[in-house]
Amino acid sequence: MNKPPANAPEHDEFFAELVVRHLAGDLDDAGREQLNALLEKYPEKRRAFVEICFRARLIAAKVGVEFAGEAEKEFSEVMPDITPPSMPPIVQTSPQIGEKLVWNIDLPGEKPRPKVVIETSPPRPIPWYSVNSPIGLRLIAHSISAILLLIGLGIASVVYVNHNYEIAGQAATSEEDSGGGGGGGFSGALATAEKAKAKKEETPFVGHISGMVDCRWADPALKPIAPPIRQGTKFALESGLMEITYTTGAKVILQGPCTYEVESPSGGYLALGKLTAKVASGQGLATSAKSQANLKSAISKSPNLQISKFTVRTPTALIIDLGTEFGVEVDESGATASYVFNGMVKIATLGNESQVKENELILRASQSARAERDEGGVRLRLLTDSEEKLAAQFVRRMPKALPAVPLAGLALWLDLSPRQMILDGREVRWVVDRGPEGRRLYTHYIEARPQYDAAAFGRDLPGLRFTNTGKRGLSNLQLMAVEGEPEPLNLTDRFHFFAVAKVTGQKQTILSSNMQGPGPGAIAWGVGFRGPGTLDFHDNHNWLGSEPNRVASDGDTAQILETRFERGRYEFFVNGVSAGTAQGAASIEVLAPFYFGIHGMMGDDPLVGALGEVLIYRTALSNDDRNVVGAYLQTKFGLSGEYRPTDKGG
Amino acid sequence: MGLEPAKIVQELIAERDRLFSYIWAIVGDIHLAEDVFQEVSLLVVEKNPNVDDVSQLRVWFRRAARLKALEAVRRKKRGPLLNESVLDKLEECWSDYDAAPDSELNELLDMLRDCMRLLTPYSRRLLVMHYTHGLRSSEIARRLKLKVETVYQAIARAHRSLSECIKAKLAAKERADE
Repeated sequence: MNKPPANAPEHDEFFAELVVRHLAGDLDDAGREQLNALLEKYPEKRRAFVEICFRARLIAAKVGVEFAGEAEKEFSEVMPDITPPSMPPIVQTSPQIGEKLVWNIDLPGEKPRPKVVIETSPPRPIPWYSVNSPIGLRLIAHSISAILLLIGLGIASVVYVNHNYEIAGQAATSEEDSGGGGGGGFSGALATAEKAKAKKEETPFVGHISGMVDCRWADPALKPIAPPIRQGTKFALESGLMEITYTTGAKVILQGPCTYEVESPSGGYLALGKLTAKVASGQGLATSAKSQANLKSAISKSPNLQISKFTVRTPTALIIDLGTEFGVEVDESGATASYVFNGMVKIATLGNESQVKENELILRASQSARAERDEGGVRLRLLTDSEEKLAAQFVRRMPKALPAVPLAGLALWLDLSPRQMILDGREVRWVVDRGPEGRRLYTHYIEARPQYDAAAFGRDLPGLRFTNTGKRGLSNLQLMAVEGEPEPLNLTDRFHFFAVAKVTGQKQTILSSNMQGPGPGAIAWGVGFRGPGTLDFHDNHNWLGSEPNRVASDGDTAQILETRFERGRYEFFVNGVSAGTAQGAASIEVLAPFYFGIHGMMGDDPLVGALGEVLIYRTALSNDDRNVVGAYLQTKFGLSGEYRPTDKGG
Repeated sequence: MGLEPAKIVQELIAERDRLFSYIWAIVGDIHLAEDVFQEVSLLVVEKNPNVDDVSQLRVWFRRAARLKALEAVRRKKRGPLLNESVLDKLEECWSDYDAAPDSELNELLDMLRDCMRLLTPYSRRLLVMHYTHGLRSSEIARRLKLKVETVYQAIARAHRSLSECIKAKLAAKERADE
């Protein structure tokens, strides 16, 4: 950086750049000297420094999120080849919670997020669809627009059907070619609509995300922001599965790694990776071969053109559904393989128009073909038997959803699989992706964190490992801090704890709270305080025991530890089996912070083992409800026990 | 009689933006600032500062934050980014923010919001990418096919524009209040 004279107008920008670099940790020694010298000498620079630091924090934590979506659109207009970051990403919690979708925003650092929506009307959060939420007003506006657009399209579609598909295809093609301003009739309307849409940058909703399993995103900027999907939405999955259900009913399962763009209400562009599409017959309009060729031509030039047959476009081919279930795979060279599981598809190469007729095939069930580039353009060939075995690698069904847990009264839910934590119905950031390990935990002591172990409870079953090499625990204090208000758990005369835990030895703390309230305030919940294998609870240092030898403490056995408290009476369960009862104070007063794996602030009785999941309810669950939670945990962690799943939530 | 623990935690949370930016200014790393803020938060709960009023408590927060921030910088085996004397001199500016009532800070927030709207989409976008999405300048530069220096310069320009805009709004408000 060349330093301008101190009285030059550009000096302010030079100074601001020093500060910006300083805050980004990107200031070299010379820059640091310059910054210190300026701050030492000039009071106005000190004021400016503080102002910039404070403003940066406000943008990071409060103001920026309000502009994220808007800026995205503006930016994509300016630089269409750039993938714009989206609104703060919202991650679906996973199918473990079944049909009750909970959307969780997973952000690095001290970043604000729009509020989450949760099905059971949380008391305080502003749902993302609310007019008061940062994105809600826009969503509502867009929804109304989408409804109006659908009405318009409905009317137009009648005209459309009556006028023959070719008209639209040809008209759209000519429109595309001429770049002109539309003719008469439907094609003109289509062109006008296209133009108007471009002007308004409004794209209709064409489907929604109907399932996600362990999604990780190759490009965080392309994380979905909400279940509804607009035309033009892109997804870049690093791993995991995501199912899209189009408004037509067609379903697509994206299989990471995969890059896919929802181009139209009836298809998309698969740039890389695999997908499986299932399209029921009758979901599209019949078209002639000629119209199909026209359509293909139009699509190859205008990927955003809406077509009625479900079509997957790739760098080298169009795969057009003829009522079927099929898989498509695109490799890094752009080569496209298509496998038909049921029904028929047409695969046609994208390239020289003259090659169209030679380069299209109708594939029937169990047939497959590959489109790949060679010197003469794009070549299409049937796959060999050995190559067809690859078809088995397609995921054709989303994993079955597990029972949802009851959400009423759920005060805190630590679920490490989808990396979420729910506190009072709101998502809260507590595990955020960052750094080579990809996980960062807010912990009691900075130098000794519990370790995130992606397979602590088996394959794809992560947990937090506590190794007792120092005073370490995990606190939700930071959660409160970022959410804006203290979030006391307010456990008083009823609560219900569940934890999936592995425990080594005795005197192991699962969770505790030291906050003193008007009544007994310190509580702890753990194993082996009253004797080997006991599951214990203390309120205000009064340890309450249970039957001994129920809790496995070999360090390797995963188990569900559960305590239900109602008006002074404690009931303890291990894997759903009663482990005794105890009587304590009729009411307790538990305020945050809560600590996992440690007893109190000073690090007593730390856990040696692992936690896979924790649920804390502010109510005492009925047996039906605890069976739902127990069955959910059992199914997820592959545990045995006495829980009897009910129909509720399942 | 000292402040109640619950009140102390509430104040800590109310102060978090000011305290966080203070820490961030010392450690020069937003992630490290999060850690330090966490440490300070825990220290507050552990020590339960024996102070009589909120203004004393804020001073306590600031001292604890400075101590922890400098410790964190040392742990990273880095020399202090800002000299002690500079930190001392900056205290006066930070204390201005401490003294500001919440209503003023809320007004400032609204002004910042308005001024963000007046930025060019490009500038606004850069700020959002850098601060809100936490993208490093090198990453922004890669995505936008720009030089890192260009990104920093653009963010600095955006800061300057925001600063001028907010100053203008403050001046207008003062005139209106008179």
